[in-house]
Amino acid sequence: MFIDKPFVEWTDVEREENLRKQFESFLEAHKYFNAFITLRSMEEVEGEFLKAGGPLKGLLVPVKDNIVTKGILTTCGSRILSNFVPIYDAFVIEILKSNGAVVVGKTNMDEFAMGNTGETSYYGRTLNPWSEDRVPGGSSSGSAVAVAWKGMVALGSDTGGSVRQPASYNYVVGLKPTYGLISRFGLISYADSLEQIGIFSRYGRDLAYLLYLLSQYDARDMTMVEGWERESLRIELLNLAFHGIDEKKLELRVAYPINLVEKADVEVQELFYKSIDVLRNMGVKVGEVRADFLNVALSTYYIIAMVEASSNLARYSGVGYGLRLESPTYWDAVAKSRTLGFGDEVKRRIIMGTFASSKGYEGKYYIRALRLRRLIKEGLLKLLKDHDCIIMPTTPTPPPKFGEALGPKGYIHDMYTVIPNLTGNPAISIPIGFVNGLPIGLQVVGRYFSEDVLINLEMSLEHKVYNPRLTPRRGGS
Amino acid sequence: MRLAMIDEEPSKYLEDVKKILELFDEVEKYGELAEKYEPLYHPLLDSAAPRKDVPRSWEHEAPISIYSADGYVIAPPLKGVRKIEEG
Repeated sequence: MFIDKPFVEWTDVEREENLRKQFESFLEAHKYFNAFITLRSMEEVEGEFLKAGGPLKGLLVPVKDNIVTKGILTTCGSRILSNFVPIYDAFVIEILKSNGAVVVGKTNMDEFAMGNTGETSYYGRTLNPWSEDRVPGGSSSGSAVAVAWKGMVALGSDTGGSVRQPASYNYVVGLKPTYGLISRFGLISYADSLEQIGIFSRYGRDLAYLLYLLSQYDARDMTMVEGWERESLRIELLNLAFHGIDEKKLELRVAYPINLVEKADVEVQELFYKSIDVLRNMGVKVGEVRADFLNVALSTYYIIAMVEASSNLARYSGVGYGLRLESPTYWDAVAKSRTLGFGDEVKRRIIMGTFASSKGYEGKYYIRALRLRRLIKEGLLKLLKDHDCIIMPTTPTPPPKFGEALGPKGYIHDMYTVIPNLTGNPAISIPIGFVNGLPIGLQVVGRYFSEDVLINLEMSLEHKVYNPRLTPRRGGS
Repeated sequence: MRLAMIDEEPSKYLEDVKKILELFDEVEKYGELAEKYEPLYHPLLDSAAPRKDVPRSWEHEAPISIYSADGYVIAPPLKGVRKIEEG
């Protein structure tokens, strides 16, 4: 099967042969699990493939529907953008195209990336291929499912775990890079101080190579970090992609915050400790720490994310672009377009974000959350001075059933993943096994620009605790 | 102007709002500790390398507005346009 080895190992003949096979697997993911909002036709894909040239020629990439694609519908999973066809490509799309990859379609997602279950999309919920009555995670639900169901790589965005959490729920690798490593030019904003474009992958080598290509400097994103850290990381990524595991990078000191780990389900904890044993056998030094300051991360994150959302989503007035519902007056038209254009979760966050940043409550909530963000960042950096990485489960439970984690009651599932978004650190989710047939992931948080260390660790766990050739079967695992 | 909410919307959101407020109020436990820290708006604000292709302070670079006789702002010439024309 074409997924039996990384894309970087495919020969030119295999790249041509596997084009249709890749497309058919995405078509299945679309039909069975509602993984795509827009899936292009085989003729279109083949036409672009024939014209393409470059190291990614033959690779079909599903892209989350909040990354703009010239001439392809980009909805953000929302009714309010149901007719939005962008006139330009995001930076990451430019890179994919110029290196020969073809965007195969736009994947389903929680509306405006607000949600962690894949249920809030206007275009219907996405199903988890490992168990169809369970959520696939979110918000990059379709991208994760497309890779889990015989895909190689996909793009998503990660604001509070939107790549790592669905990666964990779907038994694939998901990476959120350091803030400022990948250009956000063309990523439709939800909470811009927290979000980054992330990558789903089946193999670490493909992940390293794709990250190498996508992490080029782009002056159009003013939050990109420019400096030697970026370039030296890119050289390390290229080495990983073409030479494989670097044993020296496994001489690591790793810590897990016990106060967070003990909040996970018992079965999740058992699997987590088993993976620690594997790490120890590989020579990694693993220690236990207490990090009580991380207990406040979830509420800090939600205040900041909702305030930024209320500001970012003010642009959808039904006037400039997107859904416009006719009304006798301007204000009625705006109110009607927004009321009927946004879903419940988006409206909840806009209302609460506006409240938390309003005069009289700003100091109590928003400014206090920003102060706590600095506390969390300084605390985490202190931990990362003595340790190379911090590890914990990606999620406290296996994927919940549909409806169980919808809305505010499900925010708790983000308790581990929001931490690196607040601080800007890179983090990866690595599949470590199953609890009752449901996938579980290990989250590894690294120092700034240490993606090579994270991917190297993932590569060393491939075929030990994570089997990249494993795919779900229809009707359950 | 006050926008009217659609019928039943307030009650629909009430329970959720209560839950979100409970979550928000958790930061109060750390209120005293938080006061010791400056707000952090951007994750890499302290440690990120500054951009080299833009001026450090936009205030110095901001063009002074020139008004026409009828009160409209006269747009300043775009930077770089001359270079392109010359090139």
